[in-house]
Amino acid sequence: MARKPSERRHATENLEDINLTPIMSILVILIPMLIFAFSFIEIALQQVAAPKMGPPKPKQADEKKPLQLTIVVNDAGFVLKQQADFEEPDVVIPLKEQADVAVTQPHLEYDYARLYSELMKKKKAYSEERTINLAADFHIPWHILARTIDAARVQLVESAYDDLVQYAQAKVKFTDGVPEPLFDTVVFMVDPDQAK
Amino acid sequence: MADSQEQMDLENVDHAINYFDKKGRIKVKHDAPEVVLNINSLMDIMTIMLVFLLVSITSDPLSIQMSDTLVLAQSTVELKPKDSIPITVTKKHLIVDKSAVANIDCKIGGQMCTQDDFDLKARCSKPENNCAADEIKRANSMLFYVDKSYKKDGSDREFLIEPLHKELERLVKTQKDENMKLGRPFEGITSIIVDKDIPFRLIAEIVHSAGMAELHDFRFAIMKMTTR
Repeated sequence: MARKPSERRHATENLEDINLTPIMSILVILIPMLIFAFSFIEIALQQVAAPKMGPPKPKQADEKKPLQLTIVVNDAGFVLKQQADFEEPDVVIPLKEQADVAVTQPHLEYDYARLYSELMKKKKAYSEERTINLAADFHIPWHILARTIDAARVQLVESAYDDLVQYAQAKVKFTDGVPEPLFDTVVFMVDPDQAK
Repeated sequence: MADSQEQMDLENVDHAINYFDKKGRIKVKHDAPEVVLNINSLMDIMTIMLVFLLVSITSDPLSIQMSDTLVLAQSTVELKPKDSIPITVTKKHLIVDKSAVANIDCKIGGQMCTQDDFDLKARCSKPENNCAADEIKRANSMLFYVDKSYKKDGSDREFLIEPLHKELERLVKTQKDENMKLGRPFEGITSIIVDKDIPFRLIAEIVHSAGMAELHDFRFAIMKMTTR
């Protein structure tokens, strides 16, 4: 007598699709959360050396005198100073009236264009020099210092700019694919009189 | 030819009437094959997006979350962020490696700043908000500082912020030990993520304190712009 074939052996395995809906639900929540946490702003870094405080180091007799070019930032604008031995007068760059589209009235703004132009003159006279000191009144905010460093960092296509808008949009001068440096080694400097 | 066309049109009309007829519609429903939405492709897209976002977020060495109390200054500088000890200076806190070490206080003309002043500052920092001249003047006169109790000898003249210095010394020691095990030199780099309104005095104090903890390469985080 023939037996009934085994149902288990002859059964066709019916594999059901995985239910992806819960995973999709998690992904739909996770992705907007991550996009919200994701920063679309490009962050870069500005390198600065430690502040100089206290009396200067004694110089060796054969040591080449450094230019000690210093930008002083105060409420009235910029003052460009250098080592007294070089016998060049300080350059005072006052605030300049700027018409801003976002502000109805013209307002006073730091003249970064002229600062850059003056720094280019110094660079032409002392082409080996790459260090610049940055001193400021203690209440001067960081965003002004950051723009000041930016003006001193690299050479632009033109060596002088009158207009802040032209200066702001100017392209960097490249040599062999490398930006041409201006005074790119920035050192913070604290005025000892102010520190008291 | 024209007759056959007319016949077809009539059949179409009959079909349409049947479709809207209740009985006819039920019949159509039974006959139609069950359509299942295939979400596999969508799953693939979502998975790729998730992986991309997770990799992007975790590989960012600074991972800066900007807010009303932390707005970065702008610059055209191009130096890329590197793994380093991060110091964050917001308008309210001084943070080292995600733990607050000191509070930042704020004064306007001898008076402590109120929340309204912070709100005014946040509003007036956006040019589209068109703040009045006196509002801009008030917002710009907010002065941020670290209280003298955090400084060496409790003196306002001092530049050394003690809790910051201690925490940095601890982190430098840890980093030196790790580098020694890995056979790498200690570079002494710190990334300073500083709000654009923090004054030079406080920045000089932070840099001085970090310098005392053997950190000598200071890198300030800025928002990269195409115009200067």
